[in-house]
Amino acid sequence: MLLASTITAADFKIVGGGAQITDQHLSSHAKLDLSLNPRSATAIVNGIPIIICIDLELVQNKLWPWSTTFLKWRYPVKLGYHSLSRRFTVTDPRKQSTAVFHTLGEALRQLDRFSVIEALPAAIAKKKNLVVRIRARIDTESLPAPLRLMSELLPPWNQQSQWHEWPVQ
Amino acid sequence: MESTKPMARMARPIMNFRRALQPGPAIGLSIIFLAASLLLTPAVENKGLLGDFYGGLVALNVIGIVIMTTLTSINVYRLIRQFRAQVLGARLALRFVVIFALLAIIPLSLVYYFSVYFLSRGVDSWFDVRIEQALDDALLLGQTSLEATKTDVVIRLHRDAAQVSQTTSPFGIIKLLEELRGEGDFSEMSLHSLSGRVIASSSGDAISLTPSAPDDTVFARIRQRKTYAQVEPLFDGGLQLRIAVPVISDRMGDPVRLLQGLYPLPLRYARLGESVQSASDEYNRLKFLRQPLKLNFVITLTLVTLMTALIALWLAIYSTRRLVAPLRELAEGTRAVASGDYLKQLPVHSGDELGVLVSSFNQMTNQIRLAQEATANSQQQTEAQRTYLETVLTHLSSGVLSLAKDGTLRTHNTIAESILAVDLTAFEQRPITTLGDTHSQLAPLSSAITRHTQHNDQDWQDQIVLASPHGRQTLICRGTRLPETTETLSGYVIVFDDVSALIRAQRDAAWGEVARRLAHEIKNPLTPIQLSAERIRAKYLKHLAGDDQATLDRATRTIIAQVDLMKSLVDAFSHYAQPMQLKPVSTELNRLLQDIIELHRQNKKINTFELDLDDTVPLVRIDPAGIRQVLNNLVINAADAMAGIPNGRLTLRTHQATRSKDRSVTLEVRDTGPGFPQELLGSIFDPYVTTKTKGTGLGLAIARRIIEEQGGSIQAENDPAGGAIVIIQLPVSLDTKPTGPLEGITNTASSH
Repeated sequence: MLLASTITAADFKIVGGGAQITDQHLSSHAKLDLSLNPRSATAIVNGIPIIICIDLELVQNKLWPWSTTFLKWRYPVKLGYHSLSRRFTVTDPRKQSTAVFHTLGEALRQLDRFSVIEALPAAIAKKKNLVVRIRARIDTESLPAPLRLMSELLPPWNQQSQWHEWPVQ
Repeated sequence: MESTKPMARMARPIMNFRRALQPGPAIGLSIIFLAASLLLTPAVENKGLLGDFYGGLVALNVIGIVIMTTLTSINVYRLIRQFRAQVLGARLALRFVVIFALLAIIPLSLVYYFSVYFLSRGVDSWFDVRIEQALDDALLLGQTSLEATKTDVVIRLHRDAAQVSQTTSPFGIIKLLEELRGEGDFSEMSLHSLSGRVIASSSGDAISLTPSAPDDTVFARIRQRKTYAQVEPLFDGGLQLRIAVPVISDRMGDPVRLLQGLYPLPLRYARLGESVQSASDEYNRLKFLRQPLKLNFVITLTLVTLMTALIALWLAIYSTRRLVAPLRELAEGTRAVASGDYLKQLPVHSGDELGVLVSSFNQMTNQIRLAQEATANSQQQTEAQRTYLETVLTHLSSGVLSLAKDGTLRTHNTIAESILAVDLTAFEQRPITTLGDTHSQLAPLSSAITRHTQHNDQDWQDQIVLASPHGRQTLICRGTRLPETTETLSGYVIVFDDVSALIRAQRDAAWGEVARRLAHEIKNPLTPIQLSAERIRAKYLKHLAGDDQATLDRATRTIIAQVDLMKSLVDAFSHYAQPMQLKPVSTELNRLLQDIIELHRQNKKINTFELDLDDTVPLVRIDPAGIRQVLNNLVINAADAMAGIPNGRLTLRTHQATRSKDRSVTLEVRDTGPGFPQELLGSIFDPYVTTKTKGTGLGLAIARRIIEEQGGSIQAENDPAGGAIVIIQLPVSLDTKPTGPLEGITNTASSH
């Protein structure tokens, strides 16, 4: 019931966002729309935590087709289930906190708003035509070994959004 | 050159491809892929780094299987193609590969089947309903225990909320919260307005400045005047109770507030709860992962099995190739030796029994080659000797026959055929008696040979006279019995010479001597005899009368006439005995014949003259006067022979001889007379042999001498249709124009 009511469409989307550099600090935020496929949700309830990674990259667009990536960040968030309290948990190592939710949907909505501030080297902060790219995905490497091969072969375990980018203000 | 370049370009990738099929790279690949498949086992158990590279290992194994399948398929395809092309050793190699493959794959398949079966059963055996139920019950017990603690804490917090509701002073509330937190063992107590504002708080953590804010769910419960109580896991481990109750004041107008207390569960209690939860979660996780785990094991097992089977199959093919290669080379070598190639040497690849076998084969072919060379040299020498012998025999003036022990004609030389005028090749491997049976004129020869061979005479010599159509032929025949060394070499050698010419020459010489003596001894007294007779006649005839005169006249006339006759006879002999003074020149024979015939047109004895002259005959090198003399004799003889025979016809025919080795022109003089007497046919050209009542009998003898002196030949035979034929062979001149004018040639012919 918990899963059926909270999971509508298994997809990771980046709805919007923005970034700006102020005093050699990159301030970036994004609006996410995350939903898990039933297989992943069932795995969480059965004690297999799913780590959702937010990948952030700072790149510089140039005239040629490819761009230069300066910095990369990876923000993992662990989705789990606490069977003793029958609650879903969202553990954020960056904030060193664990939040508790009645449903998986509530837990995923907790992740909808993403914001981060990262310090930049001065040389990079001065560059122009900088672009921030963001993507959300399931970290298949953190899955148990039996599921890891399946995650390579089966799409439900290999959920990830498209890269979404916007210029740095 | 142009056409070879594309071929070379095509050949290069083929060579590279073949190099890829060589055992070295393939063995290296096999080792790598086998190691990769073995690494799958710890990887599937998630041991260390290997667990992280499980997917990569699987991919590497799949690639390895594809490569090994390709290599094996190519090798099997080549083997089948060689088998269909009936290449030597392909059948044996295919049989070995099939046997090796079956020996490897059947046990492997059985092991694979039972491994999968027991693996599946083994994984399923991990899960038991009773264990699951026990874990669920333990979890439920923990949850119930927590609920009891939670209820107790909720009651206490409600009691605290009642005290807070009685307090109005902000400082009093803070002080109260501090007291209540300490008494109730809360880690934090805070009072919030329903709008979320913090009214007061008390925390055991001195570092924490702001209290833990309740979320929207908590506020929603409080607005409904309900209690919120929830067990929460902490980030750094442990459990705490988050309890929130509404604070409702008795005073009118006071808003409802939210009192939240965070109650850390006792450490031992939390650990027990976590332990129960951990066991339950682990069981549920394994249960969830059961199918993927089995699938992983099956995939791993399948990959390892496939890889092992393919490597085993490839090794089977490789081993078979190595095993069969020397056998195939031996078979090829044997076939080469069977077809006569004794130079065949095989490479020795190993020092085992096969290597010894190959070495023995090489030694054997070497010895055969040496023996073959010795035989060839011997045959060559024999052939040279045989050629030499044949050359000697061919150039012998004697005919040679070799007979087997049973009298079968074995070999002969060409002179023998020439002397006997018979194709002896048709009589080879046949008894010599068949020669006499089929050619009656050779019967004396065959019977003489048969007689001596039957008597097994060691050495013998006979003079044999053959009556050929061209005259009598005298052979001196000598026979020798060969030593009986072997069956094939034993037998007889017959050597014979045609001495007809020699005998004839001896006879001619004798006649010449007779003529010379006649001329010398007889001619000298004839003149005094004739003079004496004439003198007697002149002196006494006129003195006699009557019968005496007639008698003397008749007697002296007879003496004188007979002396004249004897003189002419002696002159003829003298002429025969004298050396011929012939001057051969290039002459047109046909024209000469026409001139001669014209001289005889008035001869009444010849009714018809017929000239059958070949216009293409070349010039002949003859003495025209001599030939004219010969032809005059022959024409006169023919005319005499046809005297009294109506419609007598004389035919002169010329044509170029084709059978003779030497170029010659044949002249035939044919009449329709009675022909030569059969008993004189063999000696018709001998001196003093004649069918005429008058004549010296030297005409044909002189004719033969003139012809033979000019390098020609003459022979006589009878026409089966009637009449005589004289055949003259005249040598052809090398000149293309006549060198001797016919004009001025006087008729010197005379009939004898």
